[in-house]
Amino acid sequence: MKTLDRRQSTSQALPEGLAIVLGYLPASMAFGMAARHFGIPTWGILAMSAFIYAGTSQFALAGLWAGHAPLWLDVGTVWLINMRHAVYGPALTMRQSLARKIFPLLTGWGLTDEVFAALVRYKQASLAHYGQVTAMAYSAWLTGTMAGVLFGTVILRQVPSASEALAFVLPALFIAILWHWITPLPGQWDRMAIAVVVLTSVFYGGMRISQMGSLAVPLAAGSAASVVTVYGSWKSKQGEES
Amino acid sequence: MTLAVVVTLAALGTWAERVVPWLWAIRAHAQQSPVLRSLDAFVRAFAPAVVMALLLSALWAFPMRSLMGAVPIAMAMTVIFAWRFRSLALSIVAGMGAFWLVHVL
Repeated sequence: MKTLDRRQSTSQALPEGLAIVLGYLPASMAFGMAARHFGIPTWGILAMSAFIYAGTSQFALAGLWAGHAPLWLDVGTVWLINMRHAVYGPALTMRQSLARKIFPLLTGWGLTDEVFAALVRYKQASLAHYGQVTAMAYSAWLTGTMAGVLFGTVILRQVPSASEALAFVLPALFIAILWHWITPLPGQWDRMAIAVVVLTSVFYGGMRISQMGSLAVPLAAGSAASVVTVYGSWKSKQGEES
Repeated sequence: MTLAVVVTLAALGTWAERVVPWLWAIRAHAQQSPVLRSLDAFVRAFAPAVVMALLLSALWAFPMRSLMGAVPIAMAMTVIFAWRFRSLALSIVAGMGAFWLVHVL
């Protein structure tokens, strides 16, 4: 777990932000192109990226809208898919002892999966760090959507090998974050918990049953492993008291 | 008109899901609530699980051919650079470069 001063924090934000930018550009372009293909008007596509700003649910919403789904199903699906975001803020608070409500009020709208993954590994991060990573990711998402709507097919035809290299940016970001995270493990209960998560995920990932499952299974394993660490922390507290 | 309503409601819900629990946690932290110790232990395993889930989900997009060749090599290169240089940027570039090289060659 890293602790950074303000200057280090801001300079560290740049490579993290850039990695997210490179990962977001093709994904948001794909969204722009797909939504366009579904016949959604340009203002609607840009509004989805600007105000919902959550990739998976935007793709789902575009598909539902194209299929003339009822309003409650459109909205409910987006809420359900994005419900995982509810644990991100509390996780950041626990990690970084955040006591200032200004953080969620100023940057909470931009707390996506990737931004969370980049920020949660720090023990202390400044508002500038949060703001920089969030702003870079958001700008990339909007720019990519706009590019996808306006000239997506042309760009992909011009630079096919670049898009192949960009495909590995987000996996590389997650691997690097995981590596930095699990190398200085604090205790045996944490090590056990992480081992459960990794082994379950690798086993499930190897079987490649479904994409939704590849998100849900590690999260379920993480929840189970979390119970192990809560038990471990309770046991060690008992040990300290006796 | 309906699309505007859908986008507005979806955006408001998503914003609330991101911000409200965060504000609640800050309040609980400020009051030194006893639930914090358990919540902290829970988060310790949950946060890597989120990253692991994102990784698996991202790998899903690759065809089986890449998963048997370019992807493991690029993953290994990312880990080697992360371990050797402890630099996020360098390890990402190394992984990306390795993937591109193996994929193109």
